[in-house]
This record gives sequence, C-alpha cells and structure tokens, in this order.
Amino acid sequence: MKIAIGCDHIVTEVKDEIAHWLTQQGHEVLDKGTYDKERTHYPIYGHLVGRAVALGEADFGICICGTGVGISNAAQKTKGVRTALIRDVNTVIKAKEEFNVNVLSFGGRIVGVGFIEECINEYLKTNYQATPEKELVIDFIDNIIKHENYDVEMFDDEKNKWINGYYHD
Amino acid sequence: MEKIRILFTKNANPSYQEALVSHLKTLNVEVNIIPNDQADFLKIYEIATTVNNDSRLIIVDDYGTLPFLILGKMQNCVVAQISDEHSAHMTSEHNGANVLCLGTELNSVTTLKNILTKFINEHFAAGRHMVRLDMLKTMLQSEEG
Repeated sequence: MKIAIGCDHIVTEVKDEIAHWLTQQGHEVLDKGTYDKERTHYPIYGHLVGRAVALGEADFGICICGTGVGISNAAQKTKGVRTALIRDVNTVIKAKEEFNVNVLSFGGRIVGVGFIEECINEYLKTNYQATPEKELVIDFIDNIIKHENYDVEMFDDEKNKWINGYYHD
Repeated sequence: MEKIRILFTKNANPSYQEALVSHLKTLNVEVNIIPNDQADFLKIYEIATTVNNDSRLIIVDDYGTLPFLILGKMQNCVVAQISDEHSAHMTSEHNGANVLCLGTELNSVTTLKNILTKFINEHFAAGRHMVRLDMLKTMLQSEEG
C-alpha cells in the first residue's frame, strides 16, 4: 500500500519512526517532510499529504504535529480529504466505518509511536461498507469545498513574508 | 463577556449535557445552547457559517469526528477534535482554534470539564503562529465570493 506521511518540526522524529515502521511492514512510504527540526509550518505538510491522497498518489495518509490540531485542519481543508484527529482506537474504527476517512491525524506530543502503529493497523483492518445514508453524508462533506486546491506554490506569499520577518512574537 | 455556543449532537450521551452547561456557566462566559432540530450534518453545516473568533463554538458528539469533518472544511473555522487537557490550552494559544469538538465516548464528564476550562481560559497568542492561520485561510481563498 502507498502511504503518504507528513509532520511539522515539533515531531519529525515521530514521523521518521512511523515511516520506518511502515516500510518494515512492506508499505511504500511517500515521506512529504518535514525532514529536520528547523522551524516550519504545519499547513505545508498537511496539504502535501492531503493532495497526495486526493490526487491518488497515495492510498491513504498520516499527519502528525504537536497536538495534531493544526495539521489535521490543513489536511481537512484540502478538497477530497477526510481526516480525524485520533487519540482512541474506537475513533479510528468509527471514522473508517462511517466516513471512510482517508487520512489519520495524530498529536505526536499527545500519543506515542506504539499507539500510532496500533491505530494504523486498526485502520487497515477496518472496512468501509457503503450505504446510501453514509454516502449522502460523505458526498455532502466532500462538496463543501468547491474548488480543487492542490497548488504546491499556494503558500509562497506567506513563506516570503516569514523569511522577511513579517511574522514575529 | 465572551459568548460561547454549544451544540449537543444526537450521538452525544445526553446525560453529559446538564453538567457541562453548568460548568461552562462558572467560567465567566455567556452560554448559548443551540437547539438541534435537524439531522446532525445539516445542523452542523448551518452553524458552520456563523463561527467567528468572538464567539467560540463547542460541539459535543460521540467521537467528534462528524463535526470535525464538516467544520474543518470551512475557511472561518479552526477545529480542535481533542480529548486531553494539554491540547485544550495549546490549541487555543497556538492554533487559534475557535471550534472544539468533544466526544462523550472518549472522556468522563470530569475530564471534559477540565478541557472546557483550559480551552476557554486560554487565548490565541498570534505572533509567529499567525503565519499558519494565514496559510489555512489561503488554502480556501478560491472559495470566497
């Protein structure tokens, strides 16, 4: 299975461990970064994972930031993505069964590597079985965003402003 | 006084409602309970368009996933589907989350009260975190108008 994975600089080591584990399990991992601990921005990586899934480059995606809130929002704001922020195995099972989520999001400072592995295993074991009622809700969610937003250069303005010191504490 | 709106979905355990609303009223906020008079997904979408930073929204569900899936698609919403106290204050401070999605299948009433307290009592720090909020807005720029 092709799995896209991404994170921000807070939890790079968690993403690296999960990516390594997925490879050991026989999956093809598309590591979308970030790749080091230099301060960066979770929307970049949530979007990269989200678009890989939405465009069919990956079968599903995994997003990790500190609490998981920021990167889950970035993934979810990508057209075609359905993600949930996970801290419980039942949430994974229900999210797959009811909404056929295609990205799992985690807080790398909230949960550990072992739990993330457990959730990925449960996700892969759980089947989505379509019913008209479920499809109606999924179709509704998928059509809230009308336009495809897959341009990887969309954040250039904010990136330039960041470099030029526009954003500071 | 900040206005807090709260919606209990049909999948939320109804026995939580009174305790959570009573607790919110102790937090120096004005509490408005949104009547849930439609199918959950339609009701959540109806209120999604009205979210702003002056009136944070709390949705109590079984797991919080359906409200996250809908509100997370909106440009005006940063949605925290969380179940722990650390995330509760961090997401207010760093993410500027204006929607909280909670699950009665995930937490006891006591823990949810803790989460509400920490979420409500913290506010967005802006500064360097603002670049990420601007990026989230940019993602849905083409949806405007």
